[in-house]
Amino acid sequence: MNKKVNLIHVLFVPFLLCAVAITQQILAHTKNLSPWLGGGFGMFSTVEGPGSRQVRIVLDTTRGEYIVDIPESLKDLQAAARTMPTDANLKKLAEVMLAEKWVGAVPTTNDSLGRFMTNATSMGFENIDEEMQFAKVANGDLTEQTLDVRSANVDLWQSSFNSNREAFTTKHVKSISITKYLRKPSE
Amino acid sequence: MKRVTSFVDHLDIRNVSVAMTLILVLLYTGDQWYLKMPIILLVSAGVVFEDVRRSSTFWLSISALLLFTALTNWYYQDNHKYLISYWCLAIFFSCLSANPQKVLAKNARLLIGLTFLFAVIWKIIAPDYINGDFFKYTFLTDQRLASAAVFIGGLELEQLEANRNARQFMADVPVPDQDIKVQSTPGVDVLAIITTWWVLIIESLVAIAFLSREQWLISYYRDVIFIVFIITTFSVAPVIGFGLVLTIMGFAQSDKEHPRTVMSYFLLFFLVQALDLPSYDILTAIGL
Repeated sequence: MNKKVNLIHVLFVPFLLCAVAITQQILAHTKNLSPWLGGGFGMFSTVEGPGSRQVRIVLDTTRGEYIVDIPESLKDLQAAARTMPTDANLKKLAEVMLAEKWVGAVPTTNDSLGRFMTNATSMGFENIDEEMQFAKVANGDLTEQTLDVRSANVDLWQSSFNSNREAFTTKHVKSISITKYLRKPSE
Repeated sequence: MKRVTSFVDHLDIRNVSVAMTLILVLLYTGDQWYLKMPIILLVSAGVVFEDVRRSSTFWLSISALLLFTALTNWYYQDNHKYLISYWCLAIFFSCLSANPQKVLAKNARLLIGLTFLFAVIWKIIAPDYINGDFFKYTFLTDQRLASAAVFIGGLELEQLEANRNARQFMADVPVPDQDIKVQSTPGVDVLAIITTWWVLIIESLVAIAFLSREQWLISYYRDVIFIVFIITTFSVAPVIGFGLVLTIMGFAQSDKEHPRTVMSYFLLFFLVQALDLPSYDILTAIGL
């Protein structure tokens, strides 16, 4: 009845758990991997989950700067850039954004830009939209004039919670910029 | 008590653990098309044919699918999805063994202990856990914990909604150098501190109890500690997939010499699923 068990049968899986969790610890401390993700069991330990990181993309075009609403098809790339914001992940996102065709957009209630505009007003930031221009992926609509994009800038922001002031604050963490082609001196 | 003993005597703990795991895998592992369809087909075969669910190839296939999905979606895959993958791999190894129940029980004990060990390490080294900031933020913004924030912390639903809007505002387009005020109550401060220390202490006890030698006194109380953890945690924060995999592992390592413990885990398997109530929606509906 008391048969001996093979140690590999008992130790392989716990060893795998440890290997993944230790790797996650190392990546969290060296590559800024979110403590919440990656198999290290850091969930419910810090405010700094991937939801507290924001990836903002600004296109520099011949008609000025445009803030973009990241399309659904690129949400995985955005999630990767947010969860582990290495230069390589941010650069990859910038390159893909640069390869898309963009048109000017008016924020709607269905996109993040529209939600921002609505919330900005309710939060008392009435003048925040004065200089902002927005862009969306062209989706093959030939009636719209595509933007001539010169570079894509990916900014990573981190929001945190200040318990004493009972407030959210946001700080800029890093930026990556990818240029499509050099500007002419006359521009 | 006699009824419980008799019921537990007739239970094949490993077989029931495997059946419970099939339900867990079917309902709580993910929606990716390349995972969902094969899992539905595999689990259907496992439910219908007992030989299939006893097969090591079956569990290796499920483990491989789950691990592949976890690793390819690392940037948003929750930790309990990894744990479910490990658990299925543990069932695979138990199928290979001449003593499957013992292999499964030992794997379960180690997986529970190590999961909680790493969870405690993160809580200790995180800059905003010990001081209570994390749980204060969570009670003020997370609708999954709405019932505790409202009933114990005294937060109004409107305040919670305003805080969530403020957080969404920060997420959509960041505004530098601006404080976005949140609304709080003194009750939430107290609730956050109590929860912070309660969670840290009970998770530490679970880790020690499951990783310690059998002869140590705390090991004798491991099931009581773990059951208290499951009930107190998942009644407040219903992350059902996580609650279920922990309950199944607890059940798989339980000993028939303690029939009440076995029965408690067995009932918890149903209770944890019943906790999946949309508390925020219910509170809103009844106008609190």
